[in-house]
Amino acid sequence: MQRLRFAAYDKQESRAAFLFIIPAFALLAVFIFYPMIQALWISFQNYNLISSHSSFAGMDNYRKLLSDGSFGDSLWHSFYFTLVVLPVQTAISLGLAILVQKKFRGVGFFRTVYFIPVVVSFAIASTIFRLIYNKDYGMLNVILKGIGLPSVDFLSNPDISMLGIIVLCIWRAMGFVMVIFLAGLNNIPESLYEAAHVDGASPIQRFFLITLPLLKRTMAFVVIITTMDALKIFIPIYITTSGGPAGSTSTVVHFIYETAFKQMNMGYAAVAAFLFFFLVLIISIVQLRVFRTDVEY
Amino acid sequence: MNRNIAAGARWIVMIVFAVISLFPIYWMVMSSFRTHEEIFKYTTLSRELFIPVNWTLQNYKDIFLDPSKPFGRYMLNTLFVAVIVTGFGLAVNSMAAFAFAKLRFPFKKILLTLFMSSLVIPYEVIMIPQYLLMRDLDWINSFTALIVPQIVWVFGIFMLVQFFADIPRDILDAARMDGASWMRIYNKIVLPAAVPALITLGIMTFLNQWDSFLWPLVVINEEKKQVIQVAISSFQSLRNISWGKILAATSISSIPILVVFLFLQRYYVQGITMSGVKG
Amino acid sequence: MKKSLLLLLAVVVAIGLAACSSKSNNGQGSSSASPSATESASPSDSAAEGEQIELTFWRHDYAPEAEAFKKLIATFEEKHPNIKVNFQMIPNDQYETKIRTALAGGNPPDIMALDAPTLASYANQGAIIPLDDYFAKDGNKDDLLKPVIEGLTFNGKMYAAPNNEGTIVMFYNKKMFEEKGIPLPSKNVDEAWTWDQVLDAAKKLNDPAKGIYGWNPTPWGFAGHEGAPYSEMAFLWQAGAEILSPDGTTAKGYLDSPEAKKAMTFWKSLFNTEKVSPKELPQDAFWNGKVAIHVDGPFAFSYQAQNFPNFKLGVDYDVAPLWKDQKMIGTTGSWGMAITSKSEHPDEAWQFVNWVTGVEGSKVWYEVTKNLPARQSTFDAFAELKEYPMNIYAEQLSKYGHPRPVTPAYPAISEAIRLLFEDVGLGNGDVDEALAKAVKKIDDGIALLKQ
Repeated sequence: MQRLRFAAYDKQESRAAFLFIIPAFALLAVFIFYPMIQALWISFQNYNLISSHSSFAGMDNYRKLLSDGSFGDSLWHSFYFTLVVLPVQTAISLGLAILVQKKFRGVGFFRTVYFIPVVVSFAIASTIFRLIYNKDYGMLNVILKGIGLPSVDFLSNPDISMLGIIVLCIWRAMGFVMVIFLAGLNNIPESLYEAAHVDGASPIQRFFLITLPLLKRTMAFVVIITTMDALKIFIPIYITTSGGPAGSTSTVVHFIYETAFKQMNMGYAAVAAFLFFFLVLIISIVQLRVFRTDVEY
Repeated sequence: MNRNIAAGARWIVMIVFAVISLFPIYWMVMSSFRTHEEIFKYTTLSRELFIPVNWTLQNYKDIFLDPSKPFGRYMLNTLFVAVIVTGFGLAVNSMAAFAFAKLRFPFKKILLTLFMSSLVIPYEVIMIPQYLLMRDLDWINSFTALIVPQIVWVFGIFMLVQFFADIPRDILDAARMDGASWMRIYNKIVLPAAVPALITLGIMTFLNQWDSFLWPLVVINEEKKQVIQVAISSFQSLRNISWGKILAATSISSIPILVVFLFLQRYYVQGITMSGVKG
Repeated sequence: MKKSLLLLLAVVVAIGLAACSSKSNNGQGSSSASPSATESASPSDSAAEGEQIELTFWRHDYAPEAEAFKKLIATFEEKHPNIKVNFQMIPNDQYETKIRTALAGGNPPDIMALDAPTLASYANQGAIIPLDDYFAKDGNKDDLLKPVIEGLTFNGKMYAAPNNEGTIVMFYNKKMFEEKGIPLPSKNVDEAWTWDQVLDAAKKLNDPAKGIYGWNPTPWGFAGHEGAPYSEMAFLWQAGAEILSPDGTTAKGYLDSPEAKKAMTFWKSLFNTEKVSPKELPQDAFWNGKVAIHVDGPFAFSYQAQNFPNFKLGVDYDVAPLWKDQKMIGTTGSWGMAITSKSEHPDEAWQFVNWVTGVEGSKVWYEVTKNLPARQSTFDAFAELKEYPMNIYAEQLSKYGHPRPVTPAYPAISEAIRLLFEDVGLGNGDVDEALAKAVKKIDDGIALLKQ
């Protein structure tokens, strides 16, 4: 196998593969890649959103952005968000998946219930949480006060506002990730667990010796997708806080949106988008390498 | 003894998460039956906090009986777009996913990375060039603009690759030996084995379209063709946020998805797995 | 194998195109309001009776104003049977995103609504046309109030016609004042309360145990939109600070003046040391008795009548002129209508704009929306505008009105001011640092325009 690596492609198989891919590729090329190339071109220009003429700016926009403090802040907010969401959401989702993996009375109910937040639209979920979070009259704080706990001011305290967004996002996504993990768990042969049980492995040992290693590919998918989505977080921020309080939840995409549509500085927004694009792409490729699986695609 | 404690803890955790999952939705639905005045009135732990005092259907009447904003029409528009995108999306994305997951061909890694890059670019920055493209294609203010660019979804392709990867290559090779074409293998072996995964992706795609907001907002210029999320956001004006209407509209707009989901959920509940084709 | 694959592909593509194109055709065909449908459906009969023109007009969605527009459009179309107005309401929060995307695509509506301070950006990029010739012809410009004209003029030319004017005044909970024995503020705009007087009352009215805040200084709290800077700028001006140099080239030396520092320090104390102001404004706080002193526009009355009919003016609450410091100043400026440079029918567009914003149109507008008029003739036509409570708005407007800066850099100013007040109020940040940041943001925005 190894020695024949490149020559080993079956001609017919390759052709079939390209035919399978072509519809998707054609649509991507027209509706995503072509606009992306245009956006890349815009990033080298002084391009006002509503103006019909633009001038070439070369690397000016790039230079300026690199010294722009608010872009730096927004990068940090995006990464902070991701650094919290990635481990916490993955752990909760995996935990839920393990809890409801085995069949028992009511298992269907719990699986369904955990998935339900996924089917609430993100915009709607954000609106609901915005109301629930209100410091004085939101349900969350009414309940916290009712059971004698201090209230939390997610929407007006810059120190914890991002946590409010994080809770909202995890609430909405955990059911989906749980389903992905469930699929992965179900593919682990029961016989492995039985063998481990016979060998006297504790549940914790079984988790670390069997479950985690065999979930590697699923884990790779979850980690890569979660990272990308988390870094690009925007909708809940747009709806709940508009980047506030005091700019504490302004993420990269929020920065891009504000720059392009409020400040109408399209060239500058495109620069931010492409710097961010390469950053995330590198992260994703590194993650793909780290998680490189033995399973052949 | 230990066992019982563990089992008890397990149930408590499960129930706590179930409550967390459901509570915001419960709050939304209950509040949609309250009057504007009542939604924010109760601020202590009491029965009134959880159950409306004066049940009212007014919010629902308001959204459905406003002739200038035909809410039913918006729901149908959105449904139409979402169903078509979901149908074509499943076909196009599953074909690409099958190739990436199971077939061997040159430049696969490069192509995969290229596909992935479309997930990485912040959408907000390609929206303007995309809009210019719609203008050049003369698709502005048509459902075509809502449908065609949305069909391919690389997230969906990646997700299906996950599921397809579990199908043992041996089975496919065996089928090849028997003289089956790749198309036939895809149709007869891969797709049937991946029904739960396709349903998951179908729901996700549908949901994505149901959620779609910024794009319809800019490409649709006619109220009759508008979609549901844009309509909901119009209940929020600078001087007057009609929370009652918003909550009623969000409750109503969540129903189609919940119905679809509850109808199909036994496929997850029975376990998304490829075990059906395990060697 | 190949064949079946190709076949499938062909089928997918064919169905795709058929479904989409047939649907979009259906969609257009069934709705007579769509531009292409009207154009293609009516050439034969319209040729006979002269050119049929359709004007498109976009505005943000707000029910009472939409109603006024519909009324005026109906009468306009009656008068001009060859002109049809296609009126599109866009959700408020996304109006500017939508209109700017359309401008970027070169296919904006003929007529667009705009908020006064955004006018300079559009005018500077050539997106809208000056209306001076039209105004000279039949626009009755002399009838417009001075601050209105000032707010809609850029580089000596007037680019929009105002629907109405706007300003905000102080609202207070009369019963709470009486309970605490606090003397009521004067209704004379020349005798507005000073910041210290308001703060003094607010401290007495503040009641954290009951969840009551003494003083809410902005109508919408720390909102993420223009509503916040609209009310916040007044504090700077009242303290005697300016945002920009008179020639509009820099904020340095103006926004970081000692007067601005004083305003920001006061603002900071409201939220952080005195704690009389809510960091999160609860929904309907004033109407629910959770805020004792509030600030709002004339539209508040109809909102109250609709949602809180039992909370009455003169019994439960009253209005007074806005507060003052070194100076008495109330921010002004509201929405107007502009004609885009891409419009193929600017003359007809003006006819419509003038119909809506002209002498007679303004009266209809006032009757339906109860917004503060932009025309003297409207003030003269309605006695209620000279009576309490509208007279407070009217007099404050004419004596102490101050438009937001008219400069293409306004988007940067708006954001800088909004963040400045958030940093200091919500974030309890250092005043000097926050001001320096705001100055830099504004100057960067100005520098960008010079490229």
